[in-house]
Amino acid sequence: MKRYDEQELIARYSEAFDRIHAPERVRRAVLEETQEEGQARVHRFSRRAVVLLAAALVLTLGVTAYAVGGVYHWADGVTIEESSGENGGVHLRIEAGEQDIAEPVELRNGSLFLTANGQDLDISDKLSQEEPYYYSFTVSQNGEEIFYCVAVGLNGPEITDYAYVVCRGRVNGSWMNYTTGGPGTPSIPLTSGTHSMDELISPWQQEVIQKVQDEYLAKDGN
Amino acid sequence: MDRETFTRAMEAHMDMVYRIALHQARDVHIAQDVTQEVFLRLFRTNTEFAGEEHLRRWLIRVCLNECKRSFSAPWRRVQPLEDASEPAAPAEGDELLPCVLALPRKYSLALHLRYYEGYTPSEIATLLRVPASTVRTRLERGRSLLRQALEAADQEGREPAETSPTT
Repeated sequence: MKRYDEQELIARYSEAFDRIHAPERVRRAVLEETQEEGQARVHRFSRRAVVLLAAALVLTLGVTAYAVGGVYHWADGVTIEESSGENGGVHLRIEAGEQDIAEPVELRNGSLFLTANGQDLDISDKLSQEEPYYYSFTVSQNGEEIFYCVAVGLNGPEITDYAYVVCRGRVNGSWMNYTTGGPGTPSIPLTSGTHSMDELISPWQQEVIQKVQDEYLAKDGN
Repeated sequence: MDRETFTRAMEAHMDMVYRIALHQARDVHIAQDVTQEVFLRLFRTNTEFAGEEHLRRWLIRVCLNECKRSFSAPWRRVQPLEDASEPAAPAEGDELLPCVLALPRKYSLALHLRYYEGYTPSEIATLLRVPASTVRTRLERGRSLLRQALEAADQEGREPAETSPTT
């Protein structure tokens, strides 16, 4: 059996790792995002399965200081390019890929669970069509305080009609983004085109987003 | 950071960051995410770097922190790290990479910083914020485990030998 001395280990180590390079698409993604400094919002997920863009869509809020526009990259192959569309709508160019999205809300054996902040909560009894259920918390990430709010509601009479919106932002309000999802979310065809905001997210989800922005996140200087 | 400086830094160090992220994440997708995030942070940082080495160490620290953060993200379902999707694919014809990535992270990272990035044990200690004696122990133990794994792999074929539980 061959015995490896230290010099041989070092040589083999170098040879093996010399072959490993960051994929070109990582470079491209960084260059694209830094070109639109402060505008692009990135959500990345690292699971494997089929993407359902109708189930989870990342958008910037098209009001106040958050302008419509940006390129969003999922972990592998999915790109959503958002721009202002006709008649005030939102134009999406979508290139779908083969990556899954980790959702914070999941239906298991007829009960709805919210998994967030280390908690796994059965929220089945807390849902209604009148008022969404809110769950919020703040975490420290790299020296910043980041506020998360998950709101889950029903867009129909059945628990399978659930929809959610996740808002995430720096506590001082300097940025915020959000994700919507759930089978009850309005679905859009997985094709490029112009869509109205109402097609993409329910009115109550839009209200949640506005509420988080207005009430939960302080503005810079406040 | 101005764009030209940033682009140069990216070209010079992205592979380094990716390799370290791969060590920690053991998953190519997470490693790519982490690498992307590290360079976005670099672009946005106000840190004034005293030189190239200062920049390298900053990148390594941010990469390690970002790897930790990616495992504790609020939306991540609790699952064993061993179930992480798609391990890094070994280079064809090379048994070393799977052997390295099968080592406990604290050993493989120390070996990588020493043998590939060329840091001394004291410098590694500063980077990892552990005592230098701890680094020397990790290097010694890591070398021993890697040697065993390679020798076993040579004997058994491409499969790396079990060394010890991943930590």
